[in-house]
Amino acid sequence: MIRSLVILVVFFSAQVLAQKDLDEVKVVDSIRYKLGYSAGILSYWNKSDIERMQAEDVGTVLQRSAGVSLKSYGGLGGMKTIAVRGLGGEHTTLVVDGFSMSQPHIGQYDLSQIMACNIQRISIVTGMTKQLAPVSSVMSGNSINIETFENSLGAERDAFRVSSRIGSFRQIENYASYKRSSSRAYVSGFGRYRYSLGNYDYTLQNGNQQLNGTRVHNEYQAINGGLSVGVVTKLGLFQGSLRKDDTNQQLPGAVILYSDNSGQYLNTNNLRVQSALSGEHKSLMYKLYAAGVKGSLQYIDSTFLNLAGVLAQQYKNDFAQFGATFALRLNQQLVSFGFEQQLSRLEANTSFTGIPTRVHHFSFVSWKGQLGPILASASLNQQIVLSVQHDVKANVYALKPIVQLEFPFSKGKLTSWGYLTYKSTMRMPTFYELYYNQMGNLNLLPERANQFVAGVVFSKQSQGIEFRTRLNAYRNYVSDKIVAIPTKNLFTWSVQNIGNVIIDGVELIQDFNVDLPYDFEIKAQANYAYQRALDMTNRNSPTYRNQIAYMPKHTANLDLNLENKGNSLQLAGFISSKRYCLNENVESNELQGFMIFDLGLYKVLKRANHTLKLGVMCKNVFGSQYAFVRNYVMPGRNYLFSLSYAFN
Amino acid sequence: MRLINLFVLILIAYGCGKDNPDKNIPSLPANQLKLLVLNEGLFQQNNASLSLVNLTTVEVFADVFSQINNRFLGDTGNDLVQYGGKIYVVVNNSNTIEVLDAKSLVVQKQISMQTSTGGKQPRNISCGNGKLFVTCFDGFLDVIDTTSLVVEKRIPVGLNPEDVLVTNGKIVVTNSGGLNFPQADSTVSVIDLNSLTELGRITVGKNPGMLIADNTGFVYAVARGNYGSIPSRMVRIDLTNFTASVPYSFPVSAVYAFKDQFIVHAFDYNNNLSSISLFDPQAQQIVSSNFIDVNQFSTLYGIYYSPKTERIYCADAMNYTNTGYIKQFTVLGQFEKSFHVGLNPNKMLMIE
Repeated sequence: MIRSLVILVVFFSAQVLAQKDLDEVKVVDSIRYKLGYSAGILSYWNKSDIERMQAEDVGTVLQRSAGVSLKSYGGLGGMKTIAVRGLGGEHTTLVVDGFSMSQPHIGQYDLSQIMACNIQRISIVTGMTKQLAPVSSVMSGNSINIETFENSLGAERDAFRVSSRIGSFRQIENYASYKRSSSRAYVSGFGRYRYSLGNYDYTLQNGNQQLNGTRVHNEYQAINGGLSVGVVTKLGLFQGSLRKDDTNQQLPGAVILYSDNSGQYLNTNNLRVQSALSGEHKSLMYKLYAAGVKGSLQYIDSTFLNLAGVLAQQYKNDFAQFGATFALRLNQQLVSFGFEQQLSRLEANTSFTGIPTRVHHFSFVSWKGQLGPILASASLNQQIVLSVQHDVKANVYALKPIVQLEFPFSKGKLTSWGYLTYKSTMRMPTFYELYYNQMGNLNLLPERANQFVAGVVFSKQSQGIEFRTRLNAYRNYVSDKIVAIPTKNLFTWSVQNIGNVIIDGVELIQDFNVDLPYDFEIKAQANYAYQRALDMTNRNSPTYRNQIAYMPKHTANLDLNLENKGNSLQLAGFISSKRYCLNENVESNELQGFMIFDLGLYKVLKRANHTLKLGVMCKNVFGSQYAFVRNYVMPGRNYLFSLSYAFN
Repeated sequence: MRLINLFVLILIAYGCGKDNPDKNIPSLPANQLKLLVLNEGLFQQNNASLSLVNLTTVEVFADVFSQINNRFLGDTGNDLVQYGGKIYVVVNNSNTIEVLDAKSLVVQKQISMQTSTGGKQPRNISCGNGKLFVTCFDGFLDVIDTTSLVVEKRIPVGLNPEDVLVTNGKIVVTNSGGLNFPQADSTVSVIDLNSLTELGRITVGKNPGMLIADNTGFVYAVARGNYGSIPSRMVRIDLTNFTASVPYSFPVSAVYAFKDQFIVHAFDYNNNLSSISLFDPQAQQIVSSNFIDVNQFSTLYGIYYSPKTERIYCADAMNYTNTGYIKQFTVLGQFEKSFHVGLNPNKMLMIE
């Protein structure tokens, strides 16, 4: 079966250019996703994978990928960012339902704020993106692609989803969504409420003593809602949506020995409007899209020792984007091209002396075709950035290539597939890095990354046993790395382009599916990643050739599912080797390695159009005391109960 | 495939394992001069520490506080002084003062510097009259009795008081106003040592920091400006007449006692030029403009002169995120040797 699919993939890859129906392209993509064979996709999860995980947010899902280093500051709503293959979080673009969620003021995404309960598919794309992807994501180092329930055409029916979760630390999450859809139109709406008091006990090693405490000032509340509509017109599928996200949270900060003075708050509000038109005319596929975001962020420190007795910083950010991307079939070739324009603006009551504004232009042209047995892709990407704060400009022009080769080399019953990718990308300095008072540096250059990846996939199926092994090796060069360092004194930092990093990595991903008697089935994935990310900045520095901060050399994941007639027992494990909290690899900077295991039960009851799902999850079963970030302690053993109902 | 899996497991096990043997607790030999170094650490990392340099054996012991007391010092060590038989360590972000026995470095008491509304953020210490005077960033000078080790009184001063100096029956406090930046304070508070009441304030210049006294009763304050257009300068304060001189024309970022003279470190934020010179308060002028070659440091973070060894010790904080060095110089400013210590060394003490 697998072999047949692979042959189909090869066939479709070669013939994709000749296909006339956009849906067929999606079919090819879905097969490639399912097999995980695409050179461009590092990891992929579908709806049922995510449901079984009972993941509270996208960060929890992505953590399970090989090559992803998560930084979590702890608790529900605690900030989570990821580094993919050693590149900082700013190199990763988040794409939701075909729109890039750019945030030029901070540059990266807090993945704890992105809910997982409505996700149909999620993937980490490290190579070439699929056609008609937003142009800005084509040229980012990596992208996280999310497709939600609310934004797609479907069969002619009403669909309804409602779910509720209750967990430790007074955690509550309620979600409801309705969609009426057909093959030619849909309308949907959703709402979600999430709350957690968030206090949890911890143990922290304090020299030879153990410090037992409770992490407090960790209350979190989020309200999200949205409406979406889609209509097939003569010009193609028109989609529009409106979304509002409000979050109010306390910030517990790091655990500070002998002192407990948390008094920081963060309130964020975002309103997003977006629309797209996608379709085809003869051999031309196209997508036009536009979006606008109005956001605000308020940071309050009630313990600040100034004359007012409080520090209250208010930031307002406006963001607009529009773009067009096209894919033209020319015999056995596919030529894609497109552009995207982004306008960003940040206004602050303090900290910034002006109103930073940026115009960001992306454009690309790419080609995909068959060279003998090799499916080849190449893209040339251009970025022009005009950045203005008052009369100070920080402009950038860059031309970046991507090349990708994929080739089958099956032998006997073993299906094999290989790929090579070269990708040159950059990430712009954020507004904070450029313009933040005292710390900002107007002379910053973009941080540049060159990625080389080689990989192979082996797959075999026989007598109810399927396995797939994927092995990737990569080398990434990061130059002009943007880092904040203290310059004037310890409390006055400045952002500088001082870093060069070389990252060598190996990823081994192993999938097993085994059919057992009495309708039992085992689905398992284990992955291991080795990352050597060395500071190559200055030969005379004590950190030269040291592993960079918060980059474990070894990580491993295990997902083991035993399934039987809608019942699922899941064991998930994550192992991280020791890390360093600063670039100097000395004992005092070490953070211990750790292992955490989650154990879950999941049951699906299906009657006609009604589906009821029940889940219980024990997270961190063995109560490990650990931290991704020094002194940001993570919760011990905790529980989550989930109940969801779906109609259609 | 099995071999690969085995290899992976071995790698993981190796990666998760401890590869550092336990350190030995250092002995503290009596009658040998030892340099105690406070390493500030980094904010929110709980990694302030004390390093001990045995100048006789030229051994350096890292993190002696936790080795002797079985717990960490805390977050952001800011000041280190000896008064009588005790050593006092100010740990700013942990809001504590650790009181150590000067011989054994064993903690006698941890004084909590918190109020019901939050941390006081203690900064610097000066001693006199059997009392400890601690500047607290919440706008007070705390008075701690050195016998009972409790805070006896809180004297309100200016905004975000930074340094404190006990001299000639008075206590002088620089009010930096640093957390109100760019609207910083520009005064020093003068407090009577006996009545512990504020006598008045003297304007010395924006963002005042370090204090030092000469042998004739004058006090000198460094007004650090705004790290840009307003340069960092030193002014002389007359505590009798409550007046401050016009700032000296030469740049001063920090000032340290050296015999009856001052070692002056200057860093110009506009052109990043730096120098270490010698100022003679009697002559009222710089007597050596390049006393120590500043190019020997990545980041000069503190200077200490020991009359016992007749040596000058300079703390190099490197790039603030790498462990630092103490560099030893003769009284003529000639380099002798260096000692590798902890993260961001800033204050030193000679103990026996």
